[in-house]
Amino acid sequence: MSEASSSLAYRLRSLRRLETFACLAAVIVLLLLPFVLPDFYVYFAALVLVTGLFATSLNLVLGYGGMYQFHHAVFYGAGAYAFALMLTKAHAPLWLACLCAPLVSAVLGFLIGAICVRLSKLYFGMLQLSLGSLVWAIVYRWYSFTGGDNGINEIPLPNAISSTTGAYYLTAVVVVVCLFLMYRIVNSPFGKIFQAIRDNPQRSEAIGVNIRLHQLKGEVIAAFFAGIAGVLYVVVEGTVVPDMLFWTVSLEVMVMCLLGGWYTFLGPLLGAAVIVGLRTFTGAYTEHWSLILGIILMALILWLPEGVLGLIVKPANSKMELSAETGRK
Amino acid sequence: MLRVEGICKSFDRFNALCGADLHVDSGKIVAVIGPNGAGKSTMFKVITGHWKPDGGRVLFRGEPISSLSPHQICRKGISMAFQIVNIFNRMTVFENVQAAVLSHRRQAGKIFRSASKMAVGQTMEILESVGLRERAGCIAGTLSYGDQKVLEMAIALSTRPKLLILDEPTAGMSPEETAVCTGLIRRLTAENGLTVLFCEHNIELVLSLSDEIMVMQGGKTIIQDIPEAVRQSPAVREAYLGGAP
Repeated sequence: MSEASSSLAYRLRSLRRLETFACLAAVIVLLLLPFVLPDFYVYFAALVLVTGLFATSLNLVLGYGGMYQFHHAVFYGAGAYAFALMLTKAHAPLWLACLCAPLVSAVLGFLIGAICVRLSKLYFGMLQLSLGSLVWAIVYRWYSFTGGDNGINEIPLPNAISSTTGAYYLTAVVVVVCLFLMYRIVNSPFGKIFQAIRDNPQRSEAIGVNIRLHQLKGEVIAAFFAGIAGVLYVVVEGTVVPDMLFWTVSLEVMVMCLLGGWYTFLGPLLGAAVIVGLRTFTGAYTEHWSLILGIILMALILWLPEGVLGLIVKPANSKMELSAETGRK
Repeated sequence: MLRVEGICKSFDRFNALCGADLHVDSGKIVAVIGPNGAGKSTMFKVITGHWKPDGGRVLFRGEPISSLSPHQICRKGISMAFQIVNIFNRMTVFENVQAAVLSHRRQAGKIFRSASKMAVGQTMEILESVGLRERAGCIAGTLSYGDQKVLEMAIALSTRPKLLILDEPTAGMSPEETAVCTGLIRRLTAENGLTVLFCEHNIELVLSLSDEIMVMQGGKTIIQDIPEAVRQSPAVREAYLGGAP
């Protein structure tokens, strides 16, 4: 192996060790959190994790797939409603509801995706926005089934997960497992080809990739994980409202991806923490917290087009490249 | 191996191809030449399925392929390096080639296997053969123009094509890069026993590489023959020199 390759391999190994260490530290912090923080902050942490999972699921198709997923909230809401309806209307056991709700989101993802992947870029996004809004309108108006604008309250949850700490631990475990699975997916051949389609659809087709089918699979996977986030939202909040499926939620989660860094895996989680934090803590002082969100969005577009983590990861990659080049010379 | 029969393609009122014919026999290197706007790149894009022809047909190993999509045509064994560099800019050089190898091996849909350990040997072998092994870890978009063109060729080769189409492989290259690229094409075609169809403005390169030359003008085929016959053809002189003696 050449000097350049071994230098690069060494740096990659170091980076991987650092990543593993950071992940272990994060898991320990997550485990200890309820012992050191008051209930409100534990609830806040659970909300950040749920929203982070939701944002990361969007980033699978937005950041890694380059698809203009303008209405991702519809899958989040579908998962939440499916879970709540199965518990309240069908009186299904908890495990069955937990299993079926993300599948409902995935099926919805398949149906909407099958129609939308025929188009690309803005047209894809606009059609998805229209179909998602249609689902929202149905949920909003179907009082006898979904509770209309009142949503569904008093969802029967077992005591073990209805407490703040119980909900937090369930959320933390599920989110860690889902993040691990999504990390595996973006680093699998499927994920790499997905990134290739994002970079250059024409070239991807020319190497034998069926890009429509690949995008449809990506859509179903992203919808599935958004559905899991929806289930966890119900566990944490104990309620579900049609606003979860409204297009503004999709916009907000897109801002989270952009803020954290949509070309990075953990960026959306960071973005979710910032936005949920802003909403929670500035909301105590002013109703106009969206004004602050607007300012952040402007600053982001002007100075951080690849997000906060993108700002850190890009120079790190350049340094690695430089060292590979230096090693070569 | 490849037969193009009377293909037509128009864009609004502009007829880019009006009944062009071409045949490429197995193991041959065929060059397509013609002035700018003759329809060379359009014909290549019709052959590879990026554009559907308005008329005529394309047969590959006896099978009609003009109604197939680009990915299906690639799987039949036709691969193309485009005129304008067409690579995965944000991915590393290694990942660029690996993506094509994985796609060719029908492993593009694997979800729970780590890509970093798959097709490494074959990918590095291809990079070695085109001289890009040392740059495997570089982001493709940061390579020099010449290296990007070579990478594009490596991507096209990664699908193990039976027919390799090169659209102006040395366009925009410096004389040194052109010499390297020409040597590379010659070596790779000899080593892999490839059938090659390419278009090029560099006549010296065309004459030195090709077994046959097809000349196009105004979307039509003027002649397809061995280089010497093409050189002597009055029709070609007429097309290129406007009938000058």
